[in-house]
Amino acid sequence: MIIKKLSIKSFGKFKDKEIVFSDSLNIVYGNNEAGKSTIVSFIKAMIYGFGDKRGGKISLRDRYTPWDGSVIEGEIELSDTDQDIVIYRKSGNTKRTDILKVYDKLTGKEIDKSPEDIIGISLDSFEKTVFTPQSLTVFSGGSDEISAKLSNLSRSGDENTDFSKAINILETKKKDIIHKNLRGGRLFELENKISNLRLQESEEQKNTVKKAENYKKLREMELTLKNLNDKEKELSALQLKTNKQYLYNELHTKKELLTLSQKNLDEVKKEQLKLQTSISSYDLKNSKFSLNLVLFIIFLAVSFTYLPYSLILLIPSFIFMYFHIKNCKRIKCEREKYDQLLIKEKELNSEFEKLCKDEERAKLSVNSTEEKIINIYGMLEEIAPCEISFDENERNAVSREIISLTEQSSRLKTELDMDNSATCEEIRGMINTYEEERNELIGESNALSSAIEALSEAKNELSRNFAPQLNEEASKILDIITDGTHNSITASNNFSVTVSTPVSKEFNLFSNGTADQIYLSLRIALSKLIFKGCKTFLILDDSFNQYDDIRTENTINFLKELSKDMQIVVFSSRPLGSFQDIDIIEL
Amino acid sequence: MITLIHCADLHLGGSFCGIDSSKAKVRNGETEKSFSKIVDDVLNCNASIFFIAGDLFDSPYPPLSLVKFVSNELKRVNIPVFISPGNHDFLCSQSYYLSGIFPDNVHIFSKETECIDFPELNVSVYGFGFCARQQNSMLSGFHVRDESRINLMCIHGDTNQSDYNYISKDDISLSGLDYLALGHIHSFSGVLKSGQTSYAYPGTHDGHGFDECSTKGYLKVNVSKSEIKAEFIETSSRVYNDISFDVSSFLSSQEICEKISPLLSQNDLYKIRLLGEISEDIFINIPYIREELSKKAFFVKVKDETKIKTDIEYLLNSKSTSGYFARALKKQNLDEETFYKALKYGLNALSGKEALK
Repeated sequence: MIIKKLSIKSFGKFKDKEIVFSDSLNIVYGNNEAGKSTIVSFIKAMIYGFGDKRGGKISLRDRYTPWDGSVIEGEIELSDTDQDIVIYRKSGNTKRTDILKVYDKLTGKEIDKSPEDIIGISLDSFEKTVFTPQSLTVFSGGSDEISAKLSNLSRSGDENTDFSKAINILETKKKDIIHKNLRGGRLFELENKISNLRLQESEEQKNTVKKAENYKKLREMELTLKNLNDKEKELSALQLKTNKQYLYNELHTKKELLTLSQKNLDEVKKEQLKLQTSISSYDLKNSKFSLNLVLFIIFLAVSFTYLPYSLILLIPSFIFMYFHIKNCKRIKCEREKYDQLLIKEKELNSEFEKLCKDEERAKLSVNSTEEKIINIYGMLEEIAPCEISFDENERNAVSREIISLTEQSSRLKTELDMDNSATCEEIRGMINTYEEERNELIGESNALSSAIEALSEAKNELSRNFAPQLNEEASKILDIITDGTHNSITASNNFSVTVSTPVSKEFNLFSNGTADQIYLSLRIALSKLIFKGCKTFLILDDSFNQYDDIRTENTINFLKELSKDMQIVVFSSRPLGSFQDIDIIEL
Repeated sequence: MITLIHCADLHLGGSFCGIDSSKAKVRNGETEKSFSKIVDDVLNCNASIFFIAGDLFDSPYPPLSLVKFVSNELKRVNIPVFISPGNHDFLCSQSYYLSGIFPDNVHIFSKETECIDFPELNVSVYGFGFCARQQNSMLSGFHVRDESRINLMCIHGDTNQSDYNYISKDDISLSGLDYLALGHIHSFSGVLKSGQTSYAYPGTHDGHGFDECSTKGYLKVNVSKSEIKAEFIETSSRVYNDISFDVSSFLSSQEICEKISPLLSQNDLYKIRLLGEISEDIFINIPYIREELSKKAFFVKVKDETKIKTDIEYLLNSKSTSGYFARALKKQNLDEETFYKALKYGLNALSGKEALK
């Protein structure tokens, strides 16, 4: 890409000025203040814009906005082998309101490319290579700064920072996945999760087998429990049977007793009845007994009336008296006997009652036993008159076993029902999901590692290839300019530039003039390398101020030679002698 | 003629990988519900026999609650049920299959080939089951006892050569069976024939992952001595889809979402692979696309398999930084996937695009 024409509509002191360059060596000559720097700035502004005030530096916009109130405006015409491109800019107040047009000169069609892309290098690279500002000595810093600058040039700054930046970006990205020490990042966390889940899974696997075992155990327990319950029932029946037998026996005895006592009672009653008959007969006799007494009294009284016959009359009276006394005695005896019988009857009655109650009780317990038996068997069983043996201890043992088994099985059941832990399958599902994620991350991490490795490799290769070429090229140029006095520049990666005369010397030990020449050599070499194979322009702004005449001439001759491959525009305040077939543009 | 229901590979209690665990739980419940649906159908279609040809459960020790659920469901079926344990739920000493938990109408086959006759139907049912994770060929040399009957068999096995009860076509044709109900392969095979014997894999009843795409179900088979008629009945509650989508012509993540979302069904699960070549200045925002598309379906997983649009030959010869990088990467002899991934990372980083992310 070369510069064909500058059309300055309005820029700094210039108004409606056109400058046409040839495609070889151009020398723009003018005294101080003639506007050389303005034109240099115009070129920069047309390609890279007007910039903004930043860090206290005055922007091109501020510096070159004309005093008459018009705005910066102009265009630059660039030429490639197959295309002429025009870049038109008009400044607004800010970068945003600036107008930029890039178009094909021939067709007038706009080109969708930034000027930077058309030139092919960034502003930073531009300033380090094809655009050489006034002598290096304008850098006010010490010579260390100069060598740093040179060394930076030698390492072709742009590319290296590109690589370093890219590597940095990818390293950060990779760190998110896995840290360098392998102890952090998403992948690390995922691996941790997976190994924890694996532990959980093997634990759970044991659990599921154990659960199945427990379930089997539970089923067995339930079976045993059923058997034991049957046995208990049997034993209970046995106990009842024994009980029933006993009660029946007792009832029987009681019934016998009852019958006996009833018989006794009947006899007593019979006797009682007999006595009562006799008692009533005695009562009747008792009335006779009064007749005897009356007859006695009558005979006694008659005897006294008829004294002579008294003796005869006394005899029957006494006879009657005798019978009366005898009767009284007998009645008394009978009464006693009757009273005794009454007492005996009472006793027998109470005994009978007692026996009745006993019988009732016995009947009740027989009934309840019978009910129990019906409850168990559904019917009243005939009691076989066999010998039934019931062991209380055996029954107790069975009951105890039932209680403990019931407890155990219910515990097991609750344990089995508590199925709320994550199952093996759920855990396996999570592991699979995480593993899939992990494999993706590993893929990403591998790709990142490869990309980082390739970037570092590319970076190394670039500097490996570039540095020797640069040194070789720059040495050639310096050799020509200095007429063989200095013929070898070594710009190494550690910020030092060594130039060998017969004796090698650090860059900062040279005079300002020589330093400028070394600097120029490196820049030209760099430009040649970067634009290898395609024609480019090279702008030199008052670069020969500190050169002596011989070296100036050497340099101009060299540039003349170089201008076959490169378009060169030299801005100079010195006439630089007179050269034929060189376009001198006077300002 | 008799009607039988034939399902297999239900993998109840199985894991659902590749989707988040809460959705996996949902899927778990849904596959159980789909099983209930089969049971309902069995009740409604007057079938005489119900075959479950293996891998009813995903593991030999499924959760007890699940076993109880299945047992209760099978109690509803008032016809004979035959279960042939498969390589996942093989019989072992602690198997729930042997615990007596299943109702009386369920018969579980074991190592030895058994024959159960149904004289009133003129049917004989044969079967055996896995007793370990792997099983040698069991069918070779088998032949039915009485060819005049309708002879059926329910087993788990592989018609491809493998360690999972390999079943060769010859063994099938020599068996004398009328219908061989198989399980092991998770997609419906169609009704196949070897000799006089028809056989089929019904596939799983409800998908478990992106390797089980398309609709799933069971088979309702009418068998007579002269004819086999099978009907595939769908039971899958959701369908898994594995879709590849060329996004080369799309200019933004939004556009990708707009173009893909009409293709999605709210009920289903999708794995979407984005393919094609994407130019450097388009940034495919996978989390955004996933989030957007997730609104349109039950589950969406998005994989970026796009390559960066670039002329590799030109790049490899270029003097630019990208060229140096591409050449260095090429030297590493990576597999294609890693190469293009790394290339994408590197070029994006060099252009500063990667930093945006």
